[in-house]
Amino acid sequence: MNTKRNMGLTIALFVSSILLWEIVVRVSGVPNFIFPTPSEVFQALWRGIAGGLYLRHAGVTLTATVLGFVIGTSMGLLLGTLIATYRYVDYFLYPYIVMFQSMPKVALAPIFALWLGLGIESKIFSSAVICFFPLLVNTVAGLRSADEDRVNLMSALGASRWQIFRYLRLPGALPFIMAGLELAVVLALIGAIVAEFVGAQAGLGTLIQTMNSNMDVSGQFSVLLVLSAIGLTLNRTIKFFRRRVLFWDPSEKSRQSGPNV
Amino acid sequence: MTLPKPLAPATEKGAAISIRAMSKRYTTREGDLLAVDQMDVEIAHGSFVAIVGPSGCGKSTVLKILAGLQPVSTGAIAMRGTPLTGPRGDIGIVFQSPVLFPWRSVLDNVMLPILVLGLNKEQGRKVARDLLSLVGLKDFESRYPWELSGGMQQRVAIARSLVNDPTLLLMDEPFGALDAMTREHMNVELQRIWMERRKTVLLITHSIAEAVFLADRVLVMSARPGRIIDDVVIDLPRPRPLEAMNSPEFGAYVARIRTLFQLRGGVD
Repeated sequence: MNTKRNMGLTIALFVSSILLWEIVVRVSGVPNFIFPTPSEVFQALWRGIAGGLYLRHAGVTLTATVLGFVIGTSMGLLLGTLIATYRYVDYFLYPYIVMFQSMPKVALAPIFALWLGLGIESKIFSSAVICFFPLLVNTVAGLRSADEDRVNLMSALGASRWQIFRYLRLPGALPFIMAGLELAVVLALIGAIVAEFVGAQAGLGTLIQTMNSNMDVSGQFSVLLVLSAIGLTLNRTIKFFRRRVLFWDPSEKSRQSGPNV
Repeated sequence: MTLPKPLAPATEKGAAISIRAMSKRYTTREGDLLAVDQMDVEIAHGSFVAIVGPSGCGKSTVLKILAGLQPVSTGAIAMRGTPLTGPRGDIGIVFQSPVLFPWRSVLDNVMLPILVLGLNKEQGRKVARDLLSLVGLKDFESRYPWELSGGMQQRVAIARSLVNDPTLLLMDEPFGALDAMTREHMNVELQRIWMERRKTVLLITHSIAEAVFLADRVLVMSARPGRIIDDVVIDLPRPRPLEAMNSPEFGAYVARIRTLFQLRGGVD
């Protein structure tokens, strides 16, 4: 797919759609506080980056996202392992987890702000809660996916539960765990932004809210661009590790030519 | 070469396995199911024994029991004189599919029993390398299973099954998933490996010809409930070349076993 011709087409398509946007907005006369032109958005982006404003706020949001991601996914991995390993943990805990999972976690953000205040703690927590579940669910599914013949092979050698876990179940669960991480990293950013909307001293979510009340729509668009860049970078980072870790997974080879979402 | 010390004291004479009045009953939703009925077998140390039988005759059940993965319902099994109570580290298994671990290199796959059993890694690695050259994969130790063909993967599985110097090698349709040409080639290879190592082998197969070609002794099982209905000693000189399959003696053995199945309603 990555031929020179296709690359050229991609660039042409991008440039022409930006131009079309510019022209349509100018000709139709929509006021710029409703829908800005791309040139205004890029100006706002440049101003924000050059003044160091975006960097400062992005730093806050990114810190909350990454910390939330690390905490949430670690907890998901840990609890998922306990659930997949111990029947009793599964039996007594899983109903609550399913119940909690079906709840839209972003709706909890105001409560977290109430409990933890308007500092970064509530953002980290919100982010952690939202990336906990994909990891939990995928870890459980992954650890249980071990092939029966492989388990039999290990058992016939007298392997302990720990050995079966270490040599078979855990590596076998990695495709599921990596898929969970990829999902979780995007969710972590959403968790942090939503918590910032509820109330914060700094962060890109706060910036969007301030701009919104000042009717600075081109500013908001430019922050959205920054957020997409952050989301994309986080996602690509996980993909990078995924390819390294799952070099042996047949689905990984077919995935590389697939869409990068 | 030096092999890791066997886990059980080796008695070179006498029975490697003795199965006494063994039955296996499963409880299913439709009621009790008798998979194996009153099996009595003695398998001599260092012999190659094949079990043939129709699908669902309990062949694989016998294998799982001998591997210590399932308990018997009645009867008793002894290996080298000690009763079998569960998994023991001195058994090698080869399944129909190679059952390799795709995230481990070929050498690391062969090493797995060494790690699980906590044997000496340095020595184990040496044994693993020797076995890889024995199965003809000397130059493939750092490859990954998915880079190998089906036949090569099964050779890795055979090397892995021998790395802990097992008393007994259990093979459950090891070549069932391979094409006919590869299968014949692997039969010759297995014979060569066996003649070099002289392990006690229990081979489970659908193929009468494969059983007669490889084994010293073929146990014929009936359909459910599984019973041993014939015990055929294959008296053909070794090494048996593939052409031996065309000899009248070979044909006579195959015919004898096939007739037995036809009398009982055939192989499905």
